[in-house]
This record gives sequence, structure tokens and C-alpha cells, in this order.
Amino acid sequence: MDKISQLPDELLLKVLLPLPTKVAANTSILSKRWEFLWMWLPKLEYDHSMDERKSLIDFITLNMPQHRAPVIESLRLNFSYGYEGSVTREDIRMWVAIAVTRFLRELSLDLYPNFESQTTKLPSSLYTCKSLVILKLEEGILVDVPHQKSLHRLLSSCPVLEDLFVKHNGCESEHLETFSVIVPSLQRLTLKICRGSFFQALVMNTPSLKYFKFTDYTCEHDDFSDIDFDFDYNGYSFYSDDMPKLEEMEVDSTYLDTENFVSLITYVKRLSLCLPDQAEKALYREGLVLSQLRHLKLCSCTIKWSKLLVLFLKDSPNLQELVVHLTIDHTDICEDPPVCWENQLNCVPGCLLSSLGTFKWIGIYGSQKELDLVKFVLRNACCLKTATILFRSWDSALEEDELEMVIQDLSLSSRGSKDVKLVFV
Amino acid sequence: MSESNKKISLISSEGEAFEVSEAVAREFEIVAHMLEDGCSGSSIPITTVDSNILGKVIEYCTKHVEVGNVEGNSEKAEKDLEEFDKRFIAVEMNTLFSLILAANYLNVKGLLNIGCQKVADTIKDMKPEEVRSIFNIENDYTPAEEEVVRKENEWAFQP
Repeated sequence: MDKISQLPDELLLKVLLPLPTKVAANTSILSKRWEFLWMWLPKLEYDHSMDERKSLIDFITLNMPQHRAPVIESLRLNFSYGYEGSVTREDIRMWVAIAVTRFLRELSLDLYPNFESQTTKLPSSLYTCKSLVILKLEEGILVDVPHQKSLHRLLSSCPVLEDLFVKHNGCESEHLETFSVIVPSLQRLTLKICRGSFFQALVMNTPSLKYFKFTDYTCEHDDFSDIDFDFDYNGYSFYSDDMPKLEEMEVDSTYLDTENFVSLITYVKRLSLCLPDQAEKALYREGLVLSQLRHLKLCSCTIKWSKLLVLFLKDSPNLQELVVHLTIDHTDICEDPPVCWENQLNCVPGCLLSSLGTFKWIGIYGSQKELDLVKFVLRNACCLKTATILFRSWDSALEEDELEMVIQDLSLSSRGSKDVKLVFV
Repeated sequence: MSESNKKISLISSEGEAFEVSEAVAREFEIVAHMLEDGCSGSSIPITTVDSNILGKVIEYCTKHVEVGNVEGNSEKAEKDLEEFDKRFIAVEMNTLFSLILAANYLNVKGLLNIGCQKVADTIKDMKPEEVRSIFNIENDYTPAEEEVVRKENEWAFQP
């Protein structure tokens, strides 16, 4: 008797579990014992991008209803690379509906935006799925209750949902006015919203949230350059109830009614920000103390980012790590962000004296003001352990020979901490 | 005597005794449960695992306990452990299956995972015929039956 067939089915399934669904299904040909074994797997992942589509659809249509696992922990469908009429919206609905009857925990859908020139509707049973913990939706999906309230209804009816990812893309959502997320159990939320000219408000009631990543952008990135962009400056509102468990937040927003949003910052330990210019005012008015904040990452693409930095340094007495960087797709937005921090730091911020251990500046332009800011940190940070400076390889203020002198100058500049390790990359 | 210095004997199917610290023995969840249930004897029979395999499982657990006890420099330790796992699991198929069976019986989760992962990695890029031959699986389909399976699951057999 062959040794692998001596392993009980339970162990053979453990062997199949790390494999992609396609490879696992491939074992059905090995012998009769293996024919249906893979159908007990609790994870199904179908990605049409690499496959002959017709045969994939036939395969799912045949096997999904007969799948033997009593619990489908995750179903991932990727049909995002366009398609040629073989898979229908009804197919997708049917597959999701089957999965929902098997105590579905994680659903991830990534569909081609103009799926049969319409968005795909999800089966209504998903709205009340008692087992759903992770939901990831990308492109081309419409939840089929009257559309403004759809997500609201979906999300408030899934009692154990913990992780939600929504990418709301393209300008077919031009008429979206309010985006509500009301899920008492939600712990992780990633929202990426393309907002059209009617977008008015983001409403959140997620008292258990620990991680929140929010990105909004306008249609101009999507080749809709003939549309009038004045709305870019008409902001929208952000209403949120308290989220006392919030630990980490990443925000990249073209506009945010920041006053309402700022109060959330007081809870977080980790914060990553790229905010519009008016954010600085909101922060200033609040007069906050961010005693929880340990790690701050700030994008240097907006004009007043350094004012924002100064405010954070003043208001965060326990900051341990500071990272200044340019978010990858922001590099073309602001080529030489002016640093305006002098006169604001009339006394050394407390976090430099007592807590800041790591300082990184990635993609520094190299202007004199920026270099002065680096020296200021080096001079005053008493417990700094590492400082990492990465000069831009493109479009730098410095010629190569200047760069060497600048590095030498920084290396010799006075240090507040004896142990600091200075790294140039 | 502090608890971590206490020795326990694990007895293989051949009756050979392996003396290990209690911390290492507790890596076998089945043993940990026995100890918690008040099994105070200092020797525990592992009747379904032979000396060769038991020795290997103990080697695995000892390394993981040692590394777990060292404080600081965790990144390097983790890398070392990964290297160790990789070398440890690079054994011929029969030994690998015996390790998986033993890890499952003794409930050593880490070892069970790397064992199953190793088999999965081995199967991954092989044609069904190769998998059959490596694992000695006898094909009990008739050609007609095999053709039906192949046809119904056409997608799974495309390169």
C-alpha cells in the first residue's frame, strides 16, 4: 500500500489546503480515493486571469453545488481582467448564494467594472449572512437594495463582520451622495472611494473598529478630464460616532471635513496621513494632546505638510517613530514642497526630549529648509537611536557633488543623542 | 527544582527511553494535556511512534524551545528557525509521511504544518502521473472513467 494513501483523509486535506484550488482539484485524477477529496476543502479561489474562461466557468458551475465541505471559509472570485460574455452576473450571484448557505466567513469579489455593461448584484441572502466575517468587494458590484442605502443595509445586518474592504471605483458612481458604514462588530475597514460631484457625506458608526484605512479621490485620475472639476474644492462631511478601540489609522484624502475627523486621532497609536491643506487649521483649533500616538507617518506632498508635522510634534508627547515620505502615486503632485516650520518651534517639543527613537525621511528633496529641519531633529532628539535619510534619486535639489557635501555636513552636525546611528541610503 | 529543569522520559514503540526537559515534552500537546490532567509519572509511553521518528520530533521541539527562550534579536532568531525548519524537513518521502503522522498524533502543530506544506510544495508543479509515481499511488480508474474525470474537470488540467 502506498504510504501517502495511508494518511487519513483529514491529513491529506491538510496537505491540499495550502495549494491553489486549481492544483488541489487536479488531484482528482490520481485515483478514486482522490476524486472528491479536494471538494472537502474549505477555501475556494478562482482567478480567471490566467485561465481559459469557458472551462473555468463550466468547472465552477458543475462543482460549486456539489462541493462537500460543510463550511466554506472563504470564496474568492477574480474576474477583473475583462471578459468575453461567458460568465454572467447570474453565475456570480448563484455561486455567492451557494457559498452563503455554507456558513461563508470570507467573501472576496473582484469583477470587471462594466460586467455586461451593468454592475453585478449580490444575492439578498448575503445581507443577512450570520457567519460573514471578512468582505472584500472591488469594482463593478452593486448591492441590490435601492442603491444609496444598500451598503448600509448590507453592513448593518451582518452581525459578526470584522474585516471589510470596499473599493468604490469609477464615475459610474457619480450620483453617490452618502456612504454609510454601520457595523457594530467591524474591526478592520478599508475604504477606497471615488467621489463624484454629488458626494456629500461619509457616515460611520463602527464602535469596535481597530483599524481604519480611508482613501478618497476624484475622477480626474480616471481620464475624465472633460468633466468640470470645481467640485474638487466643495468638500464633504464626515460624521462618526466614537471609536474608542481605534489603534491604527491611514488616511489619504483629497478633502475631509477634518474637524469631525480629528477627534479620532486621539485614540490611535499608529497614524499615517496625507491630508489636504486645511487639515492644519482643524488640528490647531482642537488643541489636542495625542498621548497615545507612538508612530507617525506623514506624506510630504501637500503644501503645508511641515506645519502639520510641527503640530504633531508639539501635541504628541510619547511619539517614538516619525517617518516622512512621499506616497508612491503622489510623487508628481508637489515637486518641491515648501517647508515652513521656523518660528513655530519656539521651544523643543517634548517628544524629541523624551521618546523619539526612530526618525526616517524617505525621498527628501534636499532644499536648505528641509536640511535645517533634519538638523533640528538631530540636535534636539535626546534618545534618538536611528536616523535614516533617503535622498531622491529623481528630481533632486542637489547635484551629485553637492549631495556628498550635504551628507558630510549632516554627519558632522551636532547631535542630541550620543548613540544615534545615522544612515544615508 | 524549578519546573523547567524537570526531566521526563518519552518511551518509543520499541521501548527506548528519550529523556527530555518538561518544556520540550510540553511541545507535544498530547503530553501537555496528560501533565495537566495530573499524570505525574516521569515516563510517558508513545506507543505509535518509533525511535527514529520520535528522536527527530524531539530534535524539532528542542530547537523550537531553545529559540523561544532566547530574548531579544528576534528577527535573526526567526530567520535561524526558518532555516532550521527548512533543513529539518528536507527528508525522503517515507520519513516525511511518518513525521506528519507522528506530529498529528502527538499534536505538534508547527511540525505538522511544515510537513504538510512540504508535501504540498512537492506536488505543486508536478503532473498527475508524476505525483502518482512519487507517492506510489495506484491508479484504479479505468481509462474510460479517467476520461470522464478529465473532461468534467477540464479547467483543472489546463497548464
